[in-house]
Amino acid sequence: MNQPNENYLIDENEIRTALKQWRLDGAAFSAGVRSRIDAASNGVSNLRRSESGVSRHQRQSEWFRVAASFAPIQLLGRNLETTVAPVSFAAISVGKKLFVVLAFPFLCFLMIGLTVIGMMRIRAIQRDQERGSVDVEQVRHATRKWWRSYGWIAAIVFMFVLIAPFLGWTLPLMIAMVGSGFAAVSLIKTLAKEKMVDRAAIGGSCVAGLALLGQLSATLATVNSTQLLDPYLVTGVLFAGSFMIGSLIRPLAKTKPDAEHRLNKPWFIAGVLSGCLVMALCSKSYWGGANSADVRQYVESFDGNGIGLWDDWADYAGWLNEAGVGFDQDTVLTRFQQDMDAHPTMRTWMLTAAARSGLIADSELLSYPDVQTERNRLTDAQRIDQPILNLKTEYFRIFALASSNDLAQTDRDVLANRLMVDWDQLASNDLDYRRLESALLISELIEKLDSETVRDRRTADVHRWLVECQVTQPRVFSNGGGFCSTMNIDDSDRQATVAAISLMEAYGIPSELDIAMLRSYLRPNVLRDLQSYNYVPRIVAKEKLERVPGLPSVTLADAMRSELPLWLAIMLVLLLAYATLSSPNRLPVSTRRG
Amino acid sequence: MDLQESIDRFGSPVTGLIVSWGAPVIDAAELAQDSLADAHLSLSSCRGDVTDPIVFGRWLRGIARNKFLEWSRNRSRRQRLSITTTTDALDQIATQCVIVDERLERLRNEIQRLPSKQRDVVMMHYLDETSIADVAALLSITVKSVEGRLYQARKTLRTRMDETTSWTHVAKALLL
Repeated sequence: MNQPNENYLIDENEIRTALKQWRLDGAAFSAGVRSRIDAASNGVSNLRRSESGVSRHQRQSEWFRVAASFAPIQLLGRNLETTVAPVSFAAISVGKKLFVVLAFPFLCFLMIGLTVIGMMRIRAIQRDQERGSVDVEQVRHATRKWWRSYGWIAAIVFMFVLIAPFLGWTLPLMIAMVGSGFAAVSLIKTLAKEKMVDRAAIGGSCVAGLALLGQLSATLATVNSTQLLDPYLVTGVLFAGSFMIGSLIRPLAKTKPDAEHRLNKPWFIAGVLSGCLVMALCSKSYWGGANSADVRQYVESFDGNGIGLWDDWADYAGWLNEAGVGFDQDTVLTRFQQDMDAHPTMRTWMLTAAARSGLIADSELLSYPDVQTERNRLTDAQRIDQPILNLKTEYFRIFALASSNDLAQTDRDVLANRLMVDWDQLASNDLDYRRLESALLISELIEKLDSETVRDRRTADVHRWLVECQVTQPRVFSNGGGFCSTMNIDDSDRQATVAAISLMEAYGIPSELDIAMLRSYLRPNVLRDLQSYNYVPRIVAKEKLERVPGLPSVTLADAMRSELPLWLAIMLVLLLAYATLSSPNRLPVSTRRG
Repeated sequence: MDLQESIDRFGSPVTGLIVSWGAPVIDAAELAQDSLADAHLSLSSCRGDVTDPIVFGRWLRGIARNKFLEWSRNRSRRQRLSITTTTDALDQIATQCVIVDERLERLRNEIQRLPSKQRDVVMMHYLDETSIADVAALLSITVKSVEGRLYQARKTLRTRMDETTSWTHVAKALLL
């Protein structure tokens, strides 16, 4: 080496000494390479490894379900090593478990206060009520009188609930539940004035009220809300409460005159079992809901003939690989090739999906004749300022070329530059359909090309688009919190949301984004999750979101605010159950004339 | 080129190159081993004469770059694990080998701050005495270019180290 001005250069020995601690152990390095070659030659089964991964995740998922059945999962914190479950109840310390158990009632201080005050009033009213007979007709008359006096308030409340889709779901339902609590106390007060407080009369009204609220909550569970847990839990609590309170009484119509309507054992057991059944159905998301194993099953059974496209399938399959769950590629590959043979016009789009998901190896894609024939066109330096235009068609070719080990740096620069021309077009067209998905494709290719071209500008663009595309304004029967596919459709789109979260993984989370709403959009929903085209993108998006670096965790205040309807429902059921149980059980006497 | 020869010639410089790209040295060694194993297993798909170090070097660098990119893509997921591992490993190194010379530590930091092309050749050449010809083969550039970059790197390092030293002297003079 020519060293003309050695005095101006640092001593080579000094550099060698500085790097000495990083020097490799030659024998260990050589052994490492040989062991890799031996392992590859012996054919270590990736499938077996991924299957063991699934079973591990399933075990974690079971813990998650157990934990979720005890307390709101957001209070437990996140276990970053889990894939299926955001939390493992087993993994948290004893102190934290204790905190969760103790925190639960404190969270509900508002509802507890309401319930306790309501119970005290009921007790005070009922204290001077005597046991004895009750006139059924008089009770009905008093109840009708109460409805005539205060029914208009109830009507306003329920009308308010009916327009809930226009305003968001949570607030009107909570108002309705609080209103129901006050109504129950008011009704008891009215009956008490007539000395006619009776378990059957009170219980009957409670059952009817809870059933109505349950029906309303079920109807509105699919629209906007801020809950992080399945909104059908509220429905389950209200209906289960209705059945269980119903089991404590028998309707007056079913009770013979002059016979005390005592607790009937078969009736009671049937009511309790019905309540448990309803609660079990409504909480299915937490004991038998969809998980990564279901996503894997969907990915492995996909054949292109049902609902969904190979484009979307690629996102799910790619996530399975990222998460280390994996899937049986041989099975899918057979169906993929059959579908590609059946639809030759879709070939390039399907190959793009295969490239993105890793279904077809880079080296195999590179051997496709059209990759090599299109290589010159794509990397032609004279077209450096021209866009690629049809990204989905060209994606697999660029992807394969970028993976090749002999693509010159100048060719990479040309491809990266052309992709940035596409990016600029994307930025200039506000009404572009599936803008986030297109941005994701371009980003993936630029990253694959090992190019850091104007990353700062791309980051700024992506952050702006993410904020613009998030649906934050409640609209009639629209889903808020997710991302729309195009700016003029103000409704969350599942695929756009998956793409948006993938972009967040690459470019970070913009500070203006409403993460609480996004989490709420990705919450489980027992009815929606019956269809794979609902639960598969939801699970993938949710799991990807939990892995985004810098994601703010759910705070205590978030959990309290978001689950208020559930706590209110629980407290309302307790209040009404107490009102029913504490009412005297009287002999019904009919004084109907004629 | 047989396996042992490729390991002997390119093992260290590929590791140095991956460290230069930004991987911690432990991960870089793993990635380099993966790359050499993959290169050996897929020799048949290498276009050109694989016995030629220039052809094999370009091929190996391409594989190493893809391995590194794959590692980078999964970094967010692996970070939690690798940071822990790396931190542990670095702690171990720190406790085992006491830094006797503050200047060497500073020099390592300055090497990390070099422009990428200069850093590449420094890491590849000096990590384990790799010949300039092999570095040139791996980077698909001429021997003269490697020499030129090394020269620039050493010059830059001398300037920066002297600057730092003089500031230290000034600080010491002020304090004393």
